[in-house]
Amino acid sequence: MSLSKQLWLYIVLLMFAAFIGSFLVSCYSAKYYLEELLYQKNNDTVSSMALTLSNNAHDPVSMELFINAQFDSGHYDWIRLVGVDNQVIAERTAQNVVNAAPNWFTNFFAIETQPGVAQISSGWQQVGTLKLASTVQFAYKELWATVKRLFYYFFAMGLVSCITGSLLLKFITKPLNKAVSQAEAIGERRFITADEPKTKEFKAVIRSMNKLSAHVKSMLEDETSKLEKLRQSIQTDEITGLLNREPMLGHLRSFLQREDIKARGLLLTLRIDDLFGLNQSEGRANVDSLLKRFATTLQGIALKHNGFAGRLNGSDLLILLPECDENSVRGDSVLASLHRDCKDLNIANVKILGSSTTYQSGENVSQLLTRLDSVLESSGSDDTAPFIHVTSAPLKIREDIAWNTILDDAITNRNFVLQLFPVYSSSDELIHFEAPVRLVQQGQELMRAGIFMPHVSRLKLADKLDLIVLQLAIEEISKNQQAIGINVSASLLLNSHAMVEFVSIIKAHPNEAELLWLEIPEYGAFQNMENFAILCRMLEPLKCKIGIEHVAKEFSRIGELHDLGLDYIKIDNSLIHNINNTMAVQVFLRGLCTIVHSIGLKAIAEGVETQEEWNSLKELGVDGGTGEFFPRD
Amino acid sequence: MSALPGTLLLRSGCFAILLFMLFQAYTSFGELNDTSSQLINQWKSLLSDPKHSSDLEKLASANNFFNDNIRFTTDMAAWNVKDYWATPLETLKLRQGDCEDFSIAKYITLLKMNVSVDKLRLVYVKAILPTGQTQAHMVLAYYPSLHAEPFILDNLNLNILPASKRRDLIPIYSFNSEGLWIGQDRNPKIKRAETRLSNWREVMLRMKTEGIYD
Repeated sequence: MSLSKQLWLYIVLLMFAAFIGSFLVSCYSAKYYLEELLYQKNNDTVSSMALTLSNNAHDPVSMELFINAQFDSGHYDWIRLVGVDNQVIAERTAQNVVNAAPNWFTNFFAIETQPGVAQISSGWQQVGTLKLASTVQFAYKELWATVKRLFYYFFAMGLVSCITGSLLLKFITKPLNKAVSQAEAIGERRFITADEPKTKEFKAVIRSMNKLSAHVKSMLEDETSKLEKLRQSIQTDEITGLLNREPMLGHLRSFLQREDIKARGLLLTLRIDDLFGLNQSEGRANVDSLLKRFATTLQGIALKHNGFAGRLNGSDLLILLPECDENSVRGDSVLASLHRDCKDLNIANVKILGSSTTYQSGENVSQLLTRLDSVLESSGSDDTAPFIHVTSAPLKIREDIAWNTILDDAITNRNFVLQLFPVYSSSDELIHFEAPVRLVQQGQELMRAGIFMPHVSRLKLADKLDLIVLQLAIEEISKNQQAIGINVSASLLLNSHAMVEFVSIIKAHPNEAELLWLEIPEYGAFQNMENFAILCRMLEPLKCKIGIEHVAKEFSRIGELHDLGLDYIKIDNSLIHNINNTMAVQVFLRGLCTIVHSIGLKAIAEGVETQEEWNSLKELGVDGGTGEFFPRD
Repeated sequence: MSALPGTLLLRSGCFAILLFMLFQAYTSFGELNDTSSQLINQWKSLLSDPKHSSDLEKLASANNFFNDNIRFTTDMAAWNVKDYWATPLETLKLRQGDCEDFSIAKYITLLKMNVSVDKLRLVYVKAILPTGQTQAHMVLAYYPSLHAEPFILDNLNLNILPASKRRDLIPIYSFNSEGLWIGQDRNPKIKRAETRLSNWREVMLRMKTEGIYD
């Protein structure tokens, strides 16, 4: 029972007890008082009547007349004159007495009046006994009115006490609610800190919970930094610090499968010609420091565009720049900055070949690498054009489409559908359906989000598409009562109006909200941490699940998620691919799962392709998986 | 409840009677030196004396006991108040009392000796003194039967006489304790009672607390 209810009950009981107490006390004292008063009145009256009768005519008619006169002008229940030999000389009794109070009340508080008794004599001779009783109805009337007044008073007082009590309680327990919600959050492994309230007792509670949160936070920081070190040691090249071939291509593979704006970008390769000869002429140490310089330069470019830089082999370097094209990052200027590095280190005669190409969703890694390779040699043969950009011919046609018309139409007419891909738990139960959006065009097959999303983003339609996707998901949920996970674009976090609208749609569908899983890409969440936190807080009471997808890069910042109330993360395919054969990454993933679990999140693997991968992922502690391995129905 | 109407008259009359009684006190009160407790014990044994068989014997014993042992005085002298109705025990303790005290003491004594309450009446009377003056007075009347002429127990005339032989007394009003409601409180604090009770009721209440009357 809530405190407020207990207080109400207590007040009601207290008021009731006070009412009963006052009721009994006042009724009984009034009863005794009235009984005494009535007796005195009876006695006085009977005495003076007897005195008068004793000294007057004693014939029955006179005495009866006297009694009638007294009875009719006074307030009596009855008057009786009995002679010495017990025969009634005169008697009057009130007729048609109207009850002034309910019967139960007059029975309960029966006012027992004692009749007044007096002797009548004539000289020394006894004449009889006079008895009378005054009416008690006025007493009942008064008593009943008092009881009613008491009741109204206590009722009003009770009501006032209940209301003021509730308000007071609300005021007092405000900090308690804070403590409770913090404790609940900690119970859900969200180690949040709260402001310390003024109330001494609550202050102590919240302070110790804050300590716990701080402790967990520092522990998380420790663990994630260890994890980050581990990741670096297994994924990066010792000399340059760039990603090794496998993780680099893993990222590329993952980007090619993406359903968001990152599914399109620029791929740039640079080859140091005759590295072996260079080592011999310049000395290995010098070449190594040159490579480090190159790595720093390339890493800088990659970071600037949220991409990756890797060393595929000794002499081949690759930069992956999502959302870029040959105009936003010019290959020859990259090449020029590398040459500057050479000059800085006084190493001449370094020949660097370069080529670039745009990648698009749906292409595959080896195609892309072949395309880059095929022009790399020719770029080297012609000194005037050391850098060559190749466009991906088969997909070129997409560039010609009038995207703005198509997308405007599609958004106005809601020409989108959700395609459902199952996500299974480690115990092979369905967690939810991942639902990437597809563009419907007449006479054509559904278009993958990876194709049109970059244009949606360019045309600044992402917010609108987010709302459409949300509505589609809610419709789907209410139709099939199945959990649906949708991708939310990173740009939603940049538009507070869209965010509010987004949340209000969910709020309007409380039943569907429980089955709704919302996924924000890693770069979106971490780049706009503040807005992401606001969104999480807005969504918290709505009971929908919130997760981060494509987690591949920001492991060291996972600790920052601990108080957002997230439910899950989806681990990027670059870490999942071929996991069963990559012992080093297994170690990393196991650590990641442990940390993620410690802050109450579920870890779901993206792009699981084989049974072997799935088996080893389950063994590593992953809670769920999605990908080609899991058949669509 | 206001005092009974005759009380005022009675109060002023008692003083005159006092003078007359003083003389009698010296001649007939032979046991003045007895302690009060002895007297109370005597009274107690009188109540349970088995030799009383008839009402008239009881009347004589009670009449003589009080007339012989109690000195007539005024309330002012005895209690330092204008009007005070004493219980028999109070009267015996003080060994003095006024006409009401005598009457009450005899009345209670007779009730205790199992004389029916119907036959007893305390009577306010107008007493005509030998000097010709009239005074308010109180006596106890005993009615052998309901219609009969009563016997009068008085402290002025020490003999029990039928009413017809007492031409000096004119009855005004009579009463007894029949139908008198004393109250539900078993232990009332009379002296501090905030509501004034009638003298009659008050003395009965005090007797109740003393255990004499119930």
